[in-house]
Amino acid sequence: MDMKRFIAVCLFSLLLGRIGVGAQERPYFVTYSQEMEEPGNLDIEWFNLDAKPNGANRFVGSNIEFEYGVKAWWTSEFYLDVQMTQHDSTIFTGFRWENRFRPLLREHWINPVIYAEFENISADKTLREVVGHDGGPDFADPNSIASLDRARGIELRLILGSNFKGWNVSENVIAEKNLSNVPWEFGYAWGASRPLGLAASAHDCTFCKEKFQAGLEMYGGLGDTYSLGTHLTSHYAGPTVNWIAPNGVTFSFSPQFGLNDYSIPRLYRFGVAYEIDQSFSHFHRGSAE
Amino acid sequence: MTTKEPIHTKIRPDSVAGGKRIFEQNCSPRHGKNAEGTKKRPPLRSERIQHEATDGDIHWLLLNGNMKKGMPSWAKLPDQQLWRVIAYVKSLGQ
Repeated sequence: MDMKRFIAVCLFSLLLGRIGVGAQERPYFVTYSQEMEEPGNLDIEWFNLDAKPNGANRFVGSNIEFEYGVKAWWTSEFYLDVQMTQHDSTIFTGFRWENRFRPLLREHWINPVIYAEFENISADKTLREVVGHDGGPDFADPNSIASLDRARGIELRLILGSNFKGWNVSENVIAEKNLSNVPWEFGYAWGASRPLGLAASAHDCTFCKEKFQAGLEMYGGLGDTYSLGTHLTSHYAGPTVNWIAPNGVTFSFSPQFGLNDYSIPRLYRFGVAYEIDQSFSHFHRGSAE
Repeated sequence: MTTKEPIHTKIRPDSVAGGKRIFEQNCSPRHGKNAEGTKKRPPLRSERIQHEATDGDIHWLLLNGNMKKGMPSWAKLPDQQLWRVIAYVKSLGQ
């Protein structure tokens, strides 16, 4: 199958829901769980954040993510980020490439995953993590000025996750280092979620409980090498929910609230995800069905 | 439902139907639409799965995966759903 035909199959299948799967995605926006992408599957995700910082223009930060299961213990993901600021401009803010590795190959009470990311971004407004002394005032600069400050850096996370009686609890410890001469910055994120229904119903259904997951997510900064702590940084928390539509598309939503004066008062996150099963098998002759 | 007792001896039709739905969503792309196996993944209608492996064995495999050989952990699915998948797979041999 040539590339044009592959793309055509993907597009039509997205419309018809033929090659997607209703994967049980966790409803987190910042927190990573220990669950890896299945080998050979390509998950395409579009996440958005709408916010109005105090004293600054409303914005929408978006990223599109391509998450691929390389091995059962290795997931790789590529992000493209954009942001639109009211009364200002729409700009491409950069890219990120991350890899997650699961060192323990069996299921344990607590399952660690190592996360490593390279990012090349400027004027980012997706808030995919909060580290150091990140806060509302960071969003006050116009895009023309903010985009001059390009951050090339690495982000490391220790992801710890547990599944118990349908619940997933995940904790992330985040360390980020700009490759220029600035200190390490730290942050945290955690989330807990559960499907509303645990058993699989016998018949196809659209709004049955097993199609919904709900939970809580909280994240924030922990300062930097010179000033560790939870002061002069922002913290957010909020409920989160997702729903798997019959064609396999997952819709997620979370209203989140700033927990101190340094935070943006309210964030509204929403996302759409679609997983293409055994994506590269569609290149092979005779295996499209 | 106890985990010590083979569940396929008391399969309920709704368990099998529910398991079939989960299987089609998550397992059939690798193991085939009718669990007949694919080039890279084994069939689940084999003697080994249908008669040699206990329900507990299959549950353990679903929970832990066999990551070195490309089988992911399915611990993200609730236990109730895993047991229904097992009920469906075992029903294929009856």
